[in-house]
Amino acid sequence: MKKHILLENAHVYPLPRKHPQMKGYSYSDEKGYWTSKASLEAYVYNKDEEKPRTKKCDVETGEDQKGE
Amino acid sequence: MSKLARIKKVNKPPILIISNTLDFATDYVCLELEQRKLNYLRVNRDLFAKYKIVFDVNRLELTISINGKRYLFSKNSLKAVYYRAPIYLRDIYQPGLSKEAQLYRTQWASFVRNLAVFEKAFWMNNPVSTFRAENKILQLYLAQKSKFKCPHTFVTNSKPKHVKGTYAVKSLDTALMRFGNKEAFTYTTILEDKEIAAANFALAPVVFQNYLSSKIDWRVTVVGETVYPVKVLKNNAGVFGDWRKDKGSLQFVSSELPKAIEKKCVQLLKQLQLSFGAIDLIETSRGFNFIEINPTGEWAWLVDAAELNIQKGICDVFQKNL
Repeated sequence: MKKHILLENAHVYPLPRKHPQMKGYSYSDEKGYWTSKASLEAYVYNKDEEKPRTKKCDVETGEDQKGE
Repeated sequence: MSKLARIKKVNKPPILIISNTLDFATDYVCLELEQRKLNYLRVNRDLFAKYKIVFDVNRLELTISINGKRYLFSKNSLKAVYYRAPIYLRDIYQPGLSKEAQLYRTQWASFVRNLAVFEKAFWMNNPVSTFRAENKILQLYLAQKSKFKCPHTFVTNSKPKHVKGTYAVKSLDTALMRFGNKEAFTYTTILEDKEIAAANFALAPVVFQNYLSSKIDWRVTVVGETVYPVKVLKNNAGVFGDWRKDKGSLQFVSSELPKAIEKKCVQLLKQLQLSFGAIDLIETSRGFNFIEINPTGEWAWLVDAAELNIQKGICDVFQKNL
């Protein structure tokens, strides 16, 4: 029997999903954001670092981390 | 330290942010709040076990201790909540999740939802409103009430009769499925009538929409009454099918919508009792069509990709409500 139309056309990818490693950065509980250990620049201001390009980085799982 | 001195040391931030350590959109907001010298606290759901949290339900007082510092939120002191958390979890029974992880996730998810008891505070967004607004049929119903044009849509689990031409086929709700060491996600798929006629439907309802060809996709982020419209293009032209599949090679161009369409976007948010929403529109030669609204839509990528400082708009709204 044929698979359901949504399953037939689903985008399949291997697990686990990749998460940013944050090497060289530290998170401040008080400030609520990540900064570089070396330059103290905020992670999100560094254009070379990987950030959510469209929705949830590489895999679209619904926009409020429904699939976490 | 005397009791009085201890009481004085308690911080009472008027802004509470509920997020996750790797949610970079929240980083932008915290940086902006810090720059404005506003008092806020970001709590991350993945770090809750590190915090000491007490909610006095009778007094409506929430105390959070982090690294020895105490923060107090009461019905009078808490003015704004930025809720960057799922409304509910869909995969707690996945294989490999320990019973501890399942307990942690279900109970804390409920805890943060329960913070909706701070009903005097301004919410972006209130989880109750988000839960309601995530229903696609309701979205289309209210969008039509807001005088949006919507593609002809039907939801069915039986083979549709009289289909002719091309259709956009999608799930009614986020469809994220795990099997073995793989995961599957359903994007919108463009299918011809012949493919639809040969397909299987019975297991679950499916959304069919008349496919709008020669289209340009718009992502319209609405914050309060401020609208941030972006055209989604590839090689300066519209994208075929679901633009999310092609994300690496797209251009996101900040653009102006007709004022009447902007108004409808703001109106729709009001109808859904949302203060934030990301609306997907499709423009054809016959005008703008409403596709859907994401009450928890992502926006952080637009800071770099379209040079839109949406975090400033979010902080403006918080500041207005202090």
